Amino acid sequence: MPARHARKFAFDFARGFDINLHFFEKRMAKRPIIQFWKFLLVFAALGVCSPAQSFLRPLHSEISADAHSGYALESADLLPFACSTRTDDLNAPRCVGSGEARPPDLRSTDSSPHPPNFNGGCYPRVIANPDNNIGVDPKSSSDTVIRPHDHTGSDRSVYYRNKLEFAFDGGWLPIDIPFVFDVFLGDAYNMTTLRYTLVPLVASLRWHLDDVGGPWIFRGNWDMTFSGSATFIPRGPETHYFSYDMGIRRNFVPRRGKIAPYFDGRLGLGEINAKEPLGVQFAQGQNFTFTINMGSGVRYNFSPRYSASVGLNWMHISNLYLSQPAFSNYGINVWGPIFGIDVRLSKPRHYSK
Amino acid sequence: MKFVLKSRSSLGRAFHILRICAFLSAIAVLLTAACGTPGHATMNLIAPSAATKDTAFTVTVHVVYQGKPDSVINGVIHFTSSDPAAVLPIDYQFTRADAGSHTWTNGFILSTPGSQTITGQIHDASAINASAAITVSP
Repeated sequence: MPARHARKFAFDFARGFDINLHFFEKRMAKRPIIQFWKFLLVFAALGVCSPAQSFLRPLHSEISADAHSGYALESADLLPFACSTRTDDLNAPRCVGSGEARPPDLRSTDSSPHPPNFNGGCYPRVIANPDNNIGVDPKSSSDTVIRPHDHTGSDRSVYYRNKLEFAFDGGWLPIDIPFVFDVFLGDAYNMTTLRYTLVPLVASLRWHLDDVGGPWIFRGNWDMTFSGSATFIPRGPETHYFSYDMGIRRNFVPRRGKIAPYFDGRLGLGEINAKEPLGVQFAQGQNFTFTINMGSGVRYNFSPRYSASVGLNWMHISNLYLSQPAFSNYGINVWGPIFGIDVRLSKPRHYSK
Repeated sequence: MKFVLKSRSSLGRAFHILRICAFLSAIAVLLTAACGTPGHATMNLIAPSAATKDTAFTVTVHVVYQGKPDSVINGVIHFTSSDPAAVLPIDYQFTRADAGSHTWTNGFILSTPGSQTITGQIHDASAINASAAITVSP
């Protein structure tokens, strides 16, 4: 077989698994010796009986790092498969052919009552189920069909790079506490007799900065938040506060489930109707103020488009001592529950081939 | 509106984000500055222009905001005097019932003849203050 035909065959074969061989080829060109030895090591590790997987195995690491691979590629029990599980391929039958190489370490197939129909080192009908169970289809035939996972609501269709979301959060922050960073300012950790309750209503634009990634429980992504906030003050001398905030949020995305914890922090500036210039004790010293918001909670993804969140939020308002010495800067420090909804603005994720 | 990170390097992405943040912050600062600060309350201290040594006299304090009585003031007023021997009222906290005005009847005594001053100032809001000059006769 001529070399160009072999190359074309390899690319066509890999395209069936949504593997970017161009990327691999580029890497090979850069470091041919290292890649060659890596190839040999992986080949020896996986065994000669599954040559296709031995060939594809090093590609997995490259594609997973590219963060465009499907969920299955990150899942330990599906790693031997090179099958992508992209959402736009849900209805497409995959890997239809005479047979598919069976990895030696598959778990669920070992308990299958059906003996493998060994056909030249290949197993007949291997199905990657949406719940990550891999097994031999009881209605197996000689055809090999690998169905991709149903990723309609998976994490990668919810958290991905350049996703835009509109978020609306509402909170009830009635618990007054001292300024948590007093220790860094050399101030005493105490508070005045004045008590506040803030009711922030926050409209935000969330811009997801990256795809899901990271090790262990830190797996997740970052999003950047641009918010406009209107805060009503039912308890306290001031009555309202309007601010513009920016911040980041870390979404801790588990591999399974629709609930993802988050931690966020926002900085902003705004306008409050300060009352200390009117002689109100312990009130805010001037209208122009800064705000800090920090919070944590969980987000429940109903679908890739809609989600809701609930958490606790701490809100600080002060003027960075800009009003002193004419008016003291006491600030506001409150925390309480906050609830929100998120709606995707941009189009659903499109995976690049 | 669509935000797209075109820069592939992390440094490029960071600069891209910083540019957006700086732009939006500048707009926010301008808008906030445009709203302006409406100033603060002013205090008027009404006292007799002349007093007799060691004789009590009455002082009234009015706090106004934008020409109207400051009905929300609840700060503490503190008095000082140029007369080291003066007898001054203790700190007083305004109440809602005061509606920005309070009178200390025969609450002040100056003991040093000559030109003296008494000053009232809201604690923690030193910009709200007032003074009165009093000539003390022997």
